[in-house]
Amino acid sequence: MTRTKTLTSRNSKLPRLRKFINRLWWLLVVVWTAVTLTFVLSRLIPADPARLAAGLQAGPEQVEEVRRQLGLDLPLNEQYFRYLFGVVKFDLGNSIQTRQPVVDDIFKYLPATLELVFAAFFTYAILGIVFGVLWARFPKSLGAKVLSVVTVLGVALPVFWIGLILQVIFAANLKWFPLAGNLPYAKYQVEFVTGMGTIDSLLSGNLPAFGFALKAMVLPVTALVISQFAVSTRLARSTMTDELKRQYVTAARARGSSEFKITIFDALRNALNPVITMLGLQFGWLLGGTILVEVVFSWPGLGLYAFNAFRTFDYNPILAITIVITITFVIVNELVSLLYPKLDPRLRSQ
Amino acid sequence: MKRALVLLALALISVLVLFPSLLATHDPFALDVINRLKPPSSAHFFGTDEAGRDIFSRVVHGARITIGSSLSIVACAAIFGALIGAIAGWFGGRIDSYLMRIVDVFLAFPYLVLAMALAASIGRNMGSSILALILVWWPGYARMVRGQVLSIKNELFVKASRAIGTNSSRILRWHVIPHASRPIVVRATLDIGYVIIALTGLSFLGLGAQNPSPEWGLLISNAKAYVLFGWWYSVLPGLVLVCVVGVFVILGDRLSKERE
Repeated sequence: MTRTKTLTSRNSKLPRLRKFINRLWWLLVVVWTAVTLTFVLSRLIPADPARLAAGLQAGPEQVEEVRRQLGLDLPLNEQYFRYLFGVVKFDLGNSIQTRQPVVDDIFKYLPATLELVFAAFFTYAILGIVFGVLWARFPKSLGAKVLSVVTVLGVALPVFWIGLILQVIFAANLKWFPLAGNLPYAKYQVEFVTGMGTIDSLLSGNLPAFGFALKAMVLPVTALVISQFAVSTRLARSTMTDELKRQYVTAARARGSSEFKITIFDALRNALNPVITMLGLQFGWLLGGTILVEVVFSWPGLGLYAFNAFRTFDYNPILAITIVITITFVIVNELVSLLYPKLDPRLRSQ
Repeated sequence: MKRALVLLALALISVLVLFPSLLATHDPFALDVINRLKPPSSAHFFGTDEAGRDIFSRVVHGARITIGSSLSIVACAAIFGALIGAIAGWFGGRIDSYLMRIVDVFLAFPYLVLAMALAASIGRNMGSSILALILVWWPGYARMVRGQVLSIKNELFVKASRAIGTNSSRILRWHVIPHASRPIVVRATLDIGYVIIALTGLSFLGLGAQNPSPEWGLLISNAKAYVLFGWWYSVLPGLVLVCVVGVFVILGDRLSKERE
């Protein structure tokens, strides 16, 4: 008995470590590709970043000076290795526009983005699963017909347009929600701690500020939820439909188990794995969608920061944001794959 | 009935792309500052923009840019991806594992973010967004076609064909490509819709077409500043965009259901 126990524990520990190292290696390859691809492409183009950084008024000497400061006068391979070593040391260079280290900027803007992303993610994950289950459970109902139309339309809606529509209806005309921006810290005298308006206002015990912070989030989060809802609902419905046709469902029914119990405790549990994989992937799309939504709602997060970098050919932030988002995306998908065995006992033995 | 509706919509889209001047009521670039930001009327179906240009005519002329570019993106991505996938699946072995590793790296990115970074690095114009989207879109096709080719390769009729001495290129042309092409077409139809959304997203961020182009994403991006004064400016062009994307998504959906 003890012998088998030690054997299995040894067997399960080593592959897990190897798996972890493999995954880490994979993450490095992905990030390296992102860095190299964007670097190569950014140096292929004729636009001159030094010229842009120096400003329109600068003379030729000043442009040369800026070029030297930014290291743009070095040979390309040296620039590339410099950049790569910088990335390894978490030094992503300075932003031409804000004149701050990009790493500092990212830590400043990331929380506001995460606030939106997390709120949207949990909302559409829950809504998607609930509506997907109901749709699969009552496929002939009126609600199912409505959902089948709504979800086709849902994938056809560009997120930035949803944002504008929400602005036109709920901010410009009904005036229920603020048109743009997040919590105005100075106006409500809230201290900037985390960068998430809702949390900061709670930390300072300022309830009106918290109310405003929540209100400001409603429209951007709704835009993101609408753009992702269709995908998660359709997937939840199709996997649930498959599960409900399985024999164990018939068996449970024969045993006299209630329909509610069968749907939630038997079928849904088995249907969750593909749904969760999809949710993980959607998280990545959400990170892209947030950039668009932040631009629409002037939400001071990474997206708006990226947008300003795009406009000014500010490469360091662009590369840095790509790296940060890619790492987040890969890590989220890894975490998702760690969840599988927790949800599905069949996978634990493998 | 539904079929007729889809065909009608496709015909309308073709007219939009091929002969925009048949539908446009005004010159899409003609300025008329006195009549700026006028709501929709019989003279201007979609109203006018901040420079008094007729929004309806701009949308009509923008169709060629947006839809045309999206078609070419999907075509390039599908052809390139299919080629890579076919090579990987057909030859197998080391070529296969190398090519598929590259594909996996590409698929590990959140595609929209990668496309934004690429488009921003190449330079802000239509060409850069098109190239960026082709770069992020081909791996999906490579993965799919490889799977197709792998399964066809082991079919009895291919083995028989090889046994009677048919060479590789002939087998590819007569057996493999016809079998693999249908799923490609289904996927491409759906993808046209998704690419339109992605492309207009890039232009919305200023990474694609530049003013005064009537490209749809750019048009809606210009409208962003006028949500308070002119609802029609952002709502109506977006509505057309959604309808066009919807047609491709519904068509792709039906095609994939027919296959099943």
